[in-house]
Order: sequence, then C-alpha cells, then structure tokens
Amino acid sequence: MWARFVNTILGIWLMAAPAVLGYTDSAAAINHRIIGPLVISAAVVAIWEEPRPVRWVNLPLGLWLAISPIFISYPEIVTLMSVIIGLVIAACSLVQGTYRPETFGGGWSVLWK
Amino acid sequence: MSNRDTHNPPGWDDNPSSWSQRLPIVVLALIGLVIAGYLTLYQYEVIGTVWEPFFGDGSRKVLTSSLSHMFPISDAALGALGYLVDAVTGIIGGRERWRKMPWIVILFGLAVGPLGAVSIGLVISQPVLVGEWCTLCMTTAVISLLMIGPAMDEFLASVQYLKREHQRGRSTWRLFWGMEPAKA
Repeated sequence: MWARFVNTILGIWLMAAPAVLGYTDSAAAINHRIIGPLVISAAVVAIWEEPRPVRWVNLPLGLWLAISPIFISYPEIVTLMSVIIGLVIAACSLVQGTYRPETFGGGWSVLWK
Repeated sequence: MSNRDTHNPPGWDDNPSSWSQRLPIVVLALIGLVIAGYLTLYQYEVIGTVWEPFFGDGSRKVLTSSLSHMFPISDAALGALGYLVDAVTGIIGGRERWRKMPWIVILFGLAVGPLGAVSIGLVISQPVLVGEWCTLCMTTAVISLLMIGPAMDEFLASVQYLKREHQRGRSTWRLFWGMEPAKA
C-alpha cells in the first residue's frame, strides 16, 4: 500500500515539477510530463490486490527516469532529481505487499495454464 | 474462508459481482458522466464559459484545442459516452453475473480499461501538446483511473470461469452469452 502511495506522490510531483522548478520549455519537462501520469496510473491501479501485478509497469519507467539524463539534456539540479526519483519509483515497484491469489481463484496465472 | 458463500466464484473469498463492490464504480461513472456532459455543453457552445479555478485560461484552451476535436465527436462527448457505457454495463445483472452473463462483465472491463487509458492519454497530451492544464479534464481522468483497479477483479472472475469450463469441454461461445446452465 505505502509503495503505491509513494509512487503516486512521485508521479504527481513529476507532473508539477517543470512548472515549480521552472524548466517548462525543455525536453526534460516533456519526459517528466509523460512519465508522471503513467507512473500514477500504474501505481493507482496496483493499489487493489487483484491487479497488483500492474506495479511492474513502474520498474522500466523508474529505470528510464534514472538513465534518461544520458539521452536528454537536463538542467543540473533536475538531473539529480530525476535519477533519485527514478530509482525510488523502481524500488517501490518491487514491493509486492499483501498478494494472495488463493483468495481470488488462483489469480491471473491460471488463465495461461 | 468463512466469507465464502454460494454466489462467490470458486476459490474466491469474496464476490466481485456483489453490489457493494459494483455500486461504487457505477457512482464514479455517473459523476464522470455529469462532468464530461458539462464539458461537452461548453465544447458545443451551449454554455459560454467553463469553470476553471486553478489554471486561468487553461480549460478554455484545452477544450477548444484541435486535439480535443480530433475525433468525429469532441473528446468530452466521447468521454460522456464512455461513462454511460461504464454505468450501464456496471449496473446490469445480479450477484452471479460473473457466471450468468460473462459478456456484460467482459464488456464492462473493456469499457473501464480502455476508457481509462484514453483519459490518461488526454491528460498527458494537455501540457505536452496544448501547453495548458484543465482542472475538470484532470478530474475525469482521476475518476477513470480509480475505476480500473476495482473493476478488474470481476473481469478476472469471468475469464477464469470461461477458461475452467472450457477445459471441462463446454462451449466457450455458449458460456460467454450465459446460455449454459450452472453445473450440477
């Protein structure tokens, strides 16, 4: 639960950051404004137990944020922020929380057995 | 295990088709319908102004952008139609609809899922492509997003049912339309 909450907050921050920190006219802003809502979406859907596997979507998104300064030119302070936030998002996506497929018919994996 | 009753899908501790699980989603869809309907009235110039508490001229610019008119009907009208489908497919059927009418449960899941995806896409597009924000548009995106997670359990229960009964040699087509009687 807390892991999804953290990623939701970080996603909201990514959407707001370009305006708050003043880098709205940059490729970094476009990147953060695309990745932010995607992180929020995956985190919120994964709050519920049955669709919890959706949390994995945030692993590549977080890792991309962490390495994106290599490919996109960032203002210096924003580089550090993107790397740290990206790593936290990726780490939180690894947290499974309470997940008991035996209470909902075996979960999604029974569909391809 | 004690909560399992005869309405539950096999192996489920609760019933994803119960009213307590479905009604909140239907209420969200109806709120979304009202907001999207209001924005549609603005886009078709039935009302002259649109409520925007935070982003100044943002809502007006977003709602009159070429992006918002890229479909044959405006994006808010499309959203309103989507919420209507969500609400109708959410309300139809009883506590055993995961088994008795899989087609409506699967239609409901598809309406909630893809509609949510379109809303999220539009929210991304606002700042990136239009350069503006729109409070009520984002509100509808949040509503769409909150509907996805709780709708997926019922979708899963229906697909599990189709898969299981198919493996027992029953017709998936007939099961899908609820034409197969409950097993003895």
